[in-house]
Amino acid sequence: MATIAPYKSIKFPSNLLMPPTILAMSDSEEVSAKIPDSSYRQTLDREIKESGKHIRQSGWRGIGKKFAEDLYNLLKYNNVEYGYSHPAEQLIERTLKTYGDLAVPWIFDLYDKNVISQPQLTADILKCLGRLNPYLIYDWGYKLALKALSHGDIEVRETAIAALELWGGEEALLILKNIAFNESTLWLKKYIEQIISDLAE
Amino acid sequence: MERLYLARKITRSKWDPKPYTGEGVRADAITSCLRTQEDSLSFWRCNHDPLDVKEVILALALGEKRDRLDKIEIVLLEQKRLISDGFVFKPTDGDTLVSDLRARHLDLVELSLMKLYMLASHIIKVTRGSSEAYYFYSFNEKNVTAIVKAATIAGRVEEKNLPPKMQEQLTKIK
Repeated sequence: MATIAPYKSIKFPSNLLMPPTILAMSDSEEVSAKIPDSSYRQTLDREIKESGKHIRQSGWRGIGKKFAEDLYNLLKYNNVEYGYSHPAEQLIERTLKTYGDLAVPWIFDLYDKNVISQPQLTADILKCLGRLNPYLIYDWGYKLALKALSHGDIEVRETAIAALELWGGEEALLILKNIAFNESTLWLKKYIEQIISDLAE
Repeated sequence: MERLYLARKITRSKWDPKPYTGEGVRADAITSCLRTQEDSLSFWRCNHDPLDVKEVILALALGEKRDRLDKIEIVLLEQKRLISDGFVFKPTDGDTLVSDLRARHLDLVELSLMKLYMLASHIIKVTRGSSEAYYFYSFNEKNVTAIVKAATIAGRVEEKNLPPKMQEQLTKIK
């Protein structure tokens, strides 16, 4: 009887729920060793189908890695400017539409890897996410923005606030109300208060 | 006599100091907000009246290469102070879809490193709040969209001539 190779759940950010049926492969395993028998393959196929994901069982980690590299390169060499669309937006949108929640940790990973060393790139990720339709980022986008609001770099905090402004909704209002008192920079605090006023209308 | 100002779009957050700059200016503030072309920088004339400031926001929001409406931050520098510092102005047609605003535009020309330093010093006075003679304004995305919407309703710019993303944003406001 074939043994099931070790699997583990995708590591999502805290409190972020993923479809319970989606499984990720162990980092240490070769892809070819992941599908040890046909019964598991059938189970996996069924689970993926049920969750509405049309992803090949093997190789999605490679897709995630390629996505992260492409996104990094797009942002590293071309800053995201207010008023101008950026190709990274399309890449993120296309990836989220194709891979759904599976793509979320790819974005979190890229964010976490650069959050200390490259605040400009971190801010640019948030700018791109802010431009996406809220249904694509719900509700992990709000959690990422909340994380960014405690960042030491003012530009990161400012772009997180701008993203919340664009997404809007009760969640954004709640987050902004909760952090308004903690913001020590006067002009940024005024910006928060303006958005709170707009969202509350 | 009414004071005249020159408005320049900036990214406000880049003008706050970092631990390594002390009270100085970040290099990114210069290379991002004061990026020259042909040794010149783009400015828009206005007075301090809020309606006039909104005209500048409209001109900037509908810059010809812009394809979406986002927040805009500007500083207003008093024109006569810049003149007394030896800055040279050249009226040029502004890059905006709103034709009646193009004549408000001018370039600061013949800029040198020293002039950029002086200009940065003026902006610092705005962002650090140390001068009454200068102003900082921030218009969030909702404000900017409302200003553009009002301009389309007034017939100053045709909505159908705007980039698709902007048209989509305009449909979202009541």
